Amino acid sequence: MKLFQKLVSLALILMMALSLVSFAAADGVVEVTLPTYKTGENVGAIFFEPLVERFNAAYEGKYHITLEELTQDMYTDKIKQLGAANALPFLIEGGDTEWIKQVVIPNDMFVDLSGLIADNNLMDILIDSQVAYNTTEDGKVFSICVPVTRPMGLYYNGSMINLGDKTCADLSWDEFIAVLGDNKIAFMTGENAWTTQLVLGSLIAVEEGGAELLSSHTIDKLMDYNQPCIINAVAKLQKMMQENGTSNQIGAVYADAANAFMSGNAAVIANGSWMVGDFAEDGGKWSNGFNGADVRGDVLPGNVALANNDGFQYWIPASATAEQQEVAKAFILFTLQQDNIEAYMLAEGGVAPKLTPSEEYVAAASKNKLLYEYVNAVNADTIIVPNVGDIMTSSIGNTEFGNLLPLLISGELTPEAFCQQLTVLAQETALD
Amino acid sequence: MQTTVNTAGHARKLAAAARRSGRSIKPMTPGRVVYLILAYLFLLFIVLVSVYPIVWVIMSSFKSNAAILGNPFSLPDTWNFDAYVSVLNQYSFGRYAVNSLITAGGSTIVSIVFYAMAAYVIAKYNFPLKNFIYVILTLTLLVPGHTKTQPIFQMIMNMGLYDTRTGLWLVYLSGGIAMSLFVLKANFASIPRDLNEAASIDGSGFFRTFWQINLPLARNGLATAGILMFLGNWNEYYYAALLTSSEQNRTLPVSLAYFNQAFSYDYTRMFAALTIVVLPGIIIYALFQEQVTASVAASGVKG
Amino acid sequence: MSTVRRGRKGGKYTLMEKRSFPWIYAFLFPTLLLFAVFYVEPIFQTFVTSFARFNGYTPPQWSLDFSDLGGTIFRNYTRLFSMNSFGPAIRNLLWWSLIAMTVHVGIGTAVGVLLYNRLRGWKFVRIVYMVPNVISGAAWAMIYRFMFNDDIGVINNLIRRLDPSSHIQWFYSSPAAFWAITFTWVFYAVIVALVVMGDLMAIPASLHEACEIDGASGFQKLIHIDLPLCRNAIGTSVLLSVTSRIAMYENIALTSRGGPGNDTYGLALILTKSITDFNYGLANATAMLMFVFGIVTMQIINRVFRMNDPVY
Repeated sequence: MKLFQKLVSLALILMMALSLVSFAAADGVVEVTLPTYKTGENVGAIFFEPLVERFNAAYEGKYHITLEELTQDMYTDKIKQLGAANALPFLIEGGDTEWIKQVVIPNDMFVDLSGLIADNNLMDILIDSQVAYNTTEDGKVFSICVPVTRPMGLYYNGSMINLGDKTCADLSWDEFIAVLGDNKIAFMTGENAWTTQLVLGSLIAVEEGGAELLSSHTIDKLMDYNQPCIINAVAKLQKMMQENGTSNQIGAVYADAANAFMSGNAAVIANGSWMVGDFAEDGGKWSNGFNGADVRGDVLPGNVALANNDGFQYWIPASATAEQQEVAKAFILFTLQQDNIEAYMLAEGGVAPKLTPSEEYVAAASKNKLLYEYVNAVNADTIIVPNVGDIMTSSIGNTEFGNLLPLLISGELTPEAFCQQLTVLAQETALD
Repeated sequence: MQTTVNTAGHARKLAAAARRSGRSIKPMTPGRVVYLILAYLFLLFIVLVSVYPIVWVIMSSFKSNAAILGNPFSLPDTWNFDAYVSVLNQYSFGRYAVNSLITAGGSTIVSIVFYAMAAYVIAKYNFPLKNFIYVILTLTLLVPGHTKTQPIFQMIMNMGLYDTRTGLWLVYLSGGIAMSLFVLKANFASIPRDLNEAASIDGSGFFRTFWQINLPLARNGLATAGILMFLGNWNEYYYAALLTSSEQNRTLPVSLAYFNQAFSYDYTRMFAALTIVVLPGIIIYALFQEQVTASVAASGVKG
Repeated sequence: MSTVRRGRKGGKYTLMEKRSFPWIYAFLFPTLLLFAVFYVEPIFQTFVTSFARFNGYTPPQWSLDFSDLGGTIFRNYTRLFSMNSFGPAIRNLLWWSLIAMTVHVGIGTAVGVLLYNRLRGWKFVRIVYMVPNVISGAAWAMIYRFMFNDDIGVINNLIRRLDPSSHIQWFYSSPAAFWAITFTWVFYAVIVALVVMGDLMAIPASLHEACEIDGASGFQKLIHIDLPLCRNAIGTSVLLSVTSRIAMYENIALTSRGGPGNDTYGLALILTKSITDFNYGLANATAMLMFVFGIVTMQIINRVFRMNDPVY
C-alpha cells in the first residue's frame, strides 16, 4: 500500500511537471500516432478501435492516440523497415520473431518493462509462462502480453452439416470429413494462408511426435520440414484441399475464405474466436441466405486446439521519447484493467487464467451462445499446441507457404517435395 | 503532334503529311478491303484491351457485391455513389492526392528547370566532354530504379528524411533525366542560332539570353517533358511505398496497397477506391493529351 | 555536329565559346549533381557492397580469401545463383524478353504503321492506347488481378460461357500465371507505336514517290522501305521493352507474388525480398546483375540494329 501511495504521488508530481512543460509547448495533450492493422474491416478492429476510443476518453486532455491503418499482411515487414529507418512507432504489437530476437533484443532497441510489472503488481494477472518467455537473459522484460489464452478451433455451418450429439473432440479428421460429405472447407493460399495453416497445425498435432515438434519450435524456428509427421500431415491436407476445398481457395485471401463461409459456399472455416463478431449480426457480409445463428463453434477434429502462449505483444522501442513512453505505458496498463480484459474476451473470446470474472462479464458471456460454445469446446483431453505459423520463419509463414500450396493442390508437388521446398526456403532466408 | 513539337524535321513532316493526305482516296480493291477489315479488327482489339479494364472497374464500382459476383458484364442498374461516399469518408484521399501533387509536381517544376539548363547548353554550345556528358546522362534511362534501392533508402535515412514528403520529392527530382534531355535538347536545337547572336550583340548576358529568349521559345518542349515527368512521379509506387510509412505522407498509388485488404469483403468499395486512384491520372492525360503523346514519341528520337 | 568543329586543328573552341565555359558548367551543375547523387553514388555503393557481408545493422564487412572466393568476396553472388528462385527468375526474364522483342514490339509497330496510314479514327486509337500508360502500374496490376479472378473476373466468366466447367487459376497455377503476368503488359506498346510512327513520318516523301513510280505495292513499300528506315525506332523500342522486363516488379508483386511456388519470380522480386529479409549484400548483388543485364542488352541492340550508323 505504501508503495502504491508513493507511486501515485510520484505520478502526480510527474504529471504536474509534465503538464507544465507541455503546457508551454502545446496545448497539453500528448498526441501520438499508432500504426496498427486492427482498424476498419479487420476482425481485430471490433475490440481494438473502441478500446483506443475509451483510452482517449479516459485520458482526455492528456494523451491522445490516433490510429493509422496498416494492413495485417504488411505489418511485420513495415515494422522491420521502420526499425531500419530508426523510426519505430511508440508502441508495437509483436513483429517478426526472428528480427526481434536477432536485432531488437541484442541491440537493446526496447524499453525494459520489468519496472512497470513490479510497480503495478501486474504478476497478479499476467500469465507466468508468457512473462518468462519475454524475459531476456539479463532479466529485462521485452513485451507484455494481454493475459488471455485463446485456443483456436473451427466454425461450421449447422444448417449444412450435423454432427449429431458428437463434437469435434470426439471425431478424427477422417470421421469429420465423412460427415462433411461434399461440403467444402474454406481454405486459402493467399496472404499467409491462415485458415489452411490452422488445419495443417491440427493435422500435425495428431501425428506421432507432431505435438512435440510444434511445441518445441516457437523460439528457434523450424528449419527442417523433412519430418514424417509433417509429410504425413501435408499429404492429408493435400487430399482435403483437392476434395473438400472451396472453388475459390487458390489465391484466396482471408476475406475470400470468410466470404466463402458467410455465403454458404463453405461449411467449415478454421479460425480464432475473434470471428464470432462476424456472426453476431449481418454487417453486410452475409449473402446467399447465410444466417449467423446457424454457426457452431468447436475445436479442430482430433480434439486439437491451437494456441501459442509464447509470443511477443506490446513493446516500446527505445527510440520512443519520454512522453511517448509514458503514453505507451499508460496504454498497456489500460488494456490490462479488468474491464478491458473482459471486454476483450467478450469481443474475441479466450480465457484469462488468473482473473476472477466479474458478474457483468459472466452475465454477458453467457448471452453470447456461440462464443460460449467455442470457448468451452476445449476439454481436459484437448491437445493444445502452437500453430504451424508460429514455428515458421516469417517469410515462409507470410508468403512462401501460401505460394507453394497451389502446386500441392494441383499435384505438381508431392507432400515430400513440398516439405523439401519449405526446408530449402527456410535455409535461404536465414539472416546474413 | 505536328502542331506541338517544334523539332528539326517539323517542316519536312508537315510536307509529307500534306502529300499523304491525298492518298486516303484510294480505289477499293479486294486486297484493300481485306486489309481494312484486318486492320480495324486489330485496332478494335487494341482499343478494347486498353479501355475495357478501366471501364469495367468504373462500372463495377456502381454495382452491388451480389451483382459483381453474379454478372460481371452487366451495366449498373443505378448510378449509386454510396461506395464512393463511404470510401471517401474512411480514407483521406484528398490528403493522398495533395501528397502526390506536392511530391510529383514540386519535383517536376524544379527539375524541369535544371534539365532545361543542361539541355540548353548541350544544344547550343560546344565545350569539352559535351558528348560524353550527354551520353552518360541519357544512359540513366537504362538503369532499373530498383537497383538503387538500398543506397537510396540509406541516404534518405541518413538525411533524416525517412517518411517525409521532402525525401520523396528529392528522390523524384532525379526521375526522367534522360527523357527530358531528349525532348528539351531537340527543342532548343530547333531555335535559330541567330537569336543568340543578336542577343549577344545587344549586350544580353548568358543567363538573360537563356531565360528571356530561349526558355519562352522552348515552352512546348518544357510542357511536353514536364507532363511526362509529372505523370511518371505521380504514378510512382515503389519508392513511395519504401520511403514513407505514415498516413500523413501517403501518396495515391501507395494507398492502393493499404486498402487492398480492408475492402476485400466488399468489391464495390474496392472498385470505387480504384477508380478514385486511377481517375486523376486519366483526367490529367485528357487535358494534356497532345503533349503526352508528343513527348513519348520524342523520347525515342535519338540524339 | 560537334565532331565537325573538333576536327579543326589548333584551338578547338573559339574565344567566345571559351568565355562561356563558366556559365556552361554552372548550367550543367544541378543536373550533374542530381546525376552524381542519385545515380553514380548509389550504383557505386551497390557495386561495392554487393561483395560484402551486409545486413543493415552492422557495417558492411569485406573478406577476401583466394582459396574460397565464392565464400568470401563473391559470397552474395554465390548465394544468389544458388537460390531456389534464381533459376525461374532468369528463365522468366529470358522468355519475357523474347516475348517483349517479338510480340510486344510487333504489336506496337503494327499500331504505329496503322496510325501512320491515317486510317479513319486513328486519332481516337492513339488517345485511347495511351490510357494504360498514364495510370499507375500498381493500379493496373490490381485491375488485372481482378480481371483474372475466378469469381468476379471477366476473363473466366467469359471462358465459362463456352466451357462452363472451366476454372483457370490464372495467377496461381502453372503455366497460367506466367501468361497472366504476360498479359498485364504485352499488349500495351503505345511507346513503341509512337516512336515508330515518329520515324515513319520522318521518311522523306520523295522516297515514297519514287516507289509509287516504280509501281511498288503498299506492302512491298512497308517491308523494303518503311520498316528498314525505322530501324532506330524499333531498336529503341526493343531496348526499352527489354529493360522494362528486367525491372518488372508491380506486375508480379501485386498479382502472383512470384508464385505458384517460385514459378513467376523475377530479379526485382528477389531484390525486394532480400531487403525485407535484411540481406542487403544479397540485394545489392541482385541489383548489380540487373544493371549488367541492362548494359549488355544495350550493347547487343546497338550492334544488331546498328543504332550508331546513319539511317539515310
